[in-house]
Amino acid sequence: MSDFRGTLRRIIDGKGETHIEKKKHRIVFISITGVLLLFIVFMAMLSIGPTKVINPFEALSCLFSAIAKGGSGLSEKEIIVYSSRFPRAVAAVAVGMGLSVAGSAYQAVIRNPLVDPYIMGVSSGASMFAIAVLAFNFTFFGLFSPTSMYLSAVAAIVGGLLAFGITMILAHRAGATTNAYVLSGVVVGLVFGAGQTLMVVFSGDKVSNVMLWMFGTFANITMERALFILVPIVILSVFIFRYAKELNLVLLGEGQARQMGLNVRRFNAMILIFASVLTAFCVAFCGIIGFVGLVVPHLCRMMFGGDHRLVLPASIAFGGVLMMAADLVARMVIPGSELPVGAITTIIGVPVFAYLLIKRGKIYNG
Amino acid sequence: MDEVPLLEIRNLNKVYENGYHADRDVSFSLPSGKLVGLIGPNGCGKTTLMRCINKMHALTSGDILIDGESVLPKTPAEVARIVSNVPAELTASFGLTVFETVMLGRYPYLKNMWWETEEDESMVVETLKKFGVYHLQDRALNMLSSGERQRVMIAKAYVQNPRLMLVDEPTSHLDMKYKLDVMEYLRAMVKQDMTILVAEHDISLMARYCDLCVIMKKGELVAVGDPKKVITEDLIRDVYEVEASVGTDKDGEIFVLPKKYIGEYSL
Repeated sequence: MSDFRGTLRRIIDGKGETHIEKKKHRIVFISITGVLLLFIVFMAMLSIGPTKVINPFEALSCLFSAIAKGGSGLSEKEIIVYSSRFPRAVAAVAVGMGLSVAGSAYQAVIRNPLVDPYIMGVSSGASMFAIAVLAFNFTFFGLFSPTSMYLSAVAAIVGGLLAFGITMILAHRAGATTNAYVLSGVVVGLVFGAGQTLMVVFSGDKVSNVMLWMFGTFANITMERALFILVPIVILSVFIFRYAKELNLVLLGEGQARQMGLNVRRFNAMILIFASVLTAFCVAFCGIIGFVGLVVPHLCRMMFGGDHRLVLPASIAFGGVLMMAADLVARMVIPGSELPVGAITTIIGVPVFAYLLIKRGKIYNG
Repeated sequence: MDEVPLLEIRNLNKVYENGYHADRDVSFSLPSGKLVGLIGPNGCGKTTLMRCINKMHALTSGDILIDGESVLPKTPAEVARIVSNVPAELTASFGLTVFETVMLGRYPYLKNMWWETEEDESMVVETLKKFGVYHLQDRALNMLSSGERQRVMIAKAYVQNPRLMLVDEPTSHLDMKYKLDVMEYLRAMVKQDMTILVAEHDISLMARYCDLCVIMKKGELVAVGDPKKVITEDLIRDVYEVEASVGTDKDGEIFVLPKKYIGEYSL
């Protein structure tokens, strides 16, 4: 076992003598394995599904031919690959990386390793508004047509950001400390959670639709929807990644970071806003998918160390891989019926997290 | 004095928003290459003074000059390259190793570079070796004892390569051995182009290690000078309202033995 670990360490670190050389080698390792794993799982997503299993190379050629045809006049296989499996894969990658990046950023800024992307109330706000739309056909006072595909997504984003905004205002009035952020997020989350519960109770026969969204699912993803979330998620993730050095600095606490020349309050507020918008886009179509944003950053820290110049790219790659894998499990476990992917990630996530806590929990003690 | 002092404080006043006047008309200057103790009772304005120097707080009036240049118009990043700071206690953090923590001391010099350079790395390695924490380099910061953590934070402040290092109560929760340890480190760190200002309650310790001491009481400066001359029974009575014996041991070191509180108790 220790042999295996040593070998793994050598592969990850390379022959680098200095810390910097090792880190640079780790980046190469993360890039290569990340791209490779993303490609392998992506191919599995295209070829495996409940209707039929398609040879991966055939699936890939179906995808290219469908794209070349512009999405119309497709064969049966092309339809399966192009209009169902491909958008699901794209959305899963986007949401997986978005939640993982948001989780890493939140954990650094709030300086608490147990924080997940939903800590600021985004999930409760998004749920409440999305359920309002799903269950009561709330159309933002006629702004959207009731059949618009963006209706529930926009509702989720608006609700998530509203809850986040209230959390920020509350936290700032309470002194903008780490604890103020966490406690405000919890309180706001409870309020919106209560609203959400009431709506579920009154939603009657639409409840299963609502429940599916609440536990997270990629079942309703179309190409347009996948692109609608992919673009902002990639932009926001890259933006947060650019501040990796500063995320390292804020780990030392507000006083130290300020003394080193960083405007900490402004930086923290900025990162929280970007991470929350990121989270809101992640939940827009796919609902609340738990544990990815909590566990992936920790897995990356355990493998590559706590430097955010490594944690963030690793989160991007492995968050995407894990989410695609979870979706694959969600649609394959019981053929013909979709399990909520959020339940799968939680079932996988809880033992991993418990293991981490037992094995490595001590390093997270203050 | 012809030479430009390393630190010069001119008529510094700091009044907090709640009206509390923490520092009143404080003026003094310090030469380069000294270990300086900042001594005074709780609430005498030591920490406020330090926070004004590294721009954590805005001054109400007065000026702070380092090498003859006012720090007030400088950006926080510019100040970070001439003043570093060791906090009294590091609040909880996670994920960083000792090496990474000390390397963060190079952050003010990174500017737009993504990775630190090999020079940064060798500077950190040398510092870790010099101050006896090299063996801890891959340990998680929050797994260290408080004495070790204090040494690591001092090393971080050192690689920031400042003109002035501010150290706030470095030994407050350390035992006798670690107290000496930390003071030995600070003593060893002082070099020709760096002065260290330490706020500390243990007067005997300060008298033993410091070249100079700055003594404050209720926001005002009481004395600046050689601790062996400045620290007297009268001064302790005046500043702390405590009857104390100030003696000299067989090696000629000063020690202070507090005996009786003679002020009025205000609870």
